[in-house]
Amino acid sequence: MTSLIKNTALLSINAILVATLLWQHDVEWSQAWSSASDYTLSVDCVEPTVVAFVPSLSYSISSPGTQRNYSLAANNLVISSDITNAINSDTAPSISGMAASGNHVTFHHRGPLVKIGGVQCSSSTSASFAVYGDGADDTQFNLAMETSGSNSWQASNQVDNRVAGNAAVIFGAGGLISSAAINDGSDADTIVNGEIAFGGTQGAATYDLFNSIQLMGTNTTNHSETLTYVFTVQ
Amino acid sequence: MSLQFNKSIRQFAKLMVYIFSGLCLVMLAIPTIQEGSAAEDFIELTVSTRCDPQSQIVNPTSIDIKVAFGSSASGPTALATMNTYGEITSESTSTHPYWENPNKGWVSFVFDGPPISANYYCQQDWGEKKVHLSYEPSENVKLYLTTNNMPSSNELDVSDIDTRSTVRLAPPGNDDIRYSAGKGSVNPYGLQVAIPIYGQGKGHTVLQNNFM
Repeated sequence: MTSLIKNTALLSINAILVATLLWQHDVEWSQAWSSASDYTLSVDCVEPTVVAFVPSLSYSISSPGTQRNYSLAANNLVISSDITNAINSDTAPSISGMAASGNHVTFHHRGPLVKIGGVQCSSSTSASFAVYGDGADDTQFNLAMETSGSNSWQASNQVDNRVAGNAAVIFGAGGLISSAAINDGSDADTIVNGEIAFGGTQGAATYDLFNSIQLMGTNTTNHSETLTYVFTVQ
Repeated sequence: MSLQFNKSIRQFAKLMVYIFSGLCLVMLAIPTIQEGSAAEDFIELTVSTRCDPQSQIVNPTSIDIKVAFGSSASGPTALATMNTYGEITSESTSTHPYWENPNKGWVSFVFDGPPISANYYCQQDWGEKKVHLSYEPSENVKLYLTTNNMPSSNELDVSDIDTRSTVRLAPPGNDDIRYSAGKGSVNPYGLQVAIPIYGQGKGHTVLQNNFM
């Protein structure tokens, strides 16, 4: 009788052990299907070199007339423009506003697209823009920058007679065009891309380039001016 | 006659009770008899097999991405290199058309997803396996899953490093245990990394592979 009780007790203990094992087995099963592993991802940006891009412009002015002293009336002249090293696929600007002013003929066009690049990975999102000449002012060929949409030559806005240290601020504090800086995202390309472009036909940051050229004689003459564009990242 | 028959029945039943009781006593006594009268001994060798389902994960411990920006007359350029397992495993270039993706002011790079794999042991179900990718919220990094080389809008979950965007795990060949995904596997995927353009050059996050 004692053995019967003993065997019954052992059987019960075994049953409890088996149940416990089965329960543990279920836990391990669920754990096996939700295993996870962590790893890190790091991004490091190499600071790029800041660089400026500007195109070159040229004009061809001719008169269809043959007389020696032809009229400076605008309708007697044919003016075309060409652009090289265009920025962001910019095209040659169309000439407009041809007019006679004394012994000069004046005309203007939208300022070409220019830009400063390589400001990614920095805290800078804006720039100012100033211009000065090459120190050898050709008085027969003058250039001025003015607010886009202006219609007349303003001698006070002439830029090619400026020298380094006395640059004409176009965009920026006290500038000819705007007191505001040029901001990435609201610039000519309208994209936040680490490049600050302005001019051309897009965006709010456009300007006009005015030309005043003195025409003399019938011989072919060439005049050139070199402008230095100064971008200051802010 | 009837009385005689009933008596026989009772005697037979009594006999059966005696026999049953005797058998019970013998059965209870057997262990005692055996223990007490063992003529030989033996060693019982038991081999028990216990195969708990489990998975063993293999993935990179770290991924380093280096971004080099540049500019040209026609637009901005960028080259990003992904470094895993101590070597450059993937390169990605980003140019103007996708510069704004996924958000304005961010630039995306699409890489071949790094190889991840898992060995599944002792499982009864050999069906399709999946791994959920997620990452910790980060100010300067966003991660997306892609199935081609184009930027995606399928951003990984950032609310909790636990679940969401899924990558299929496919067994290479007829391997019933080893499942893998990513570069060099039968089931590649794309990992798109986006960083802010003015992000001060540094970004860091923690990815998690959650195998299901």
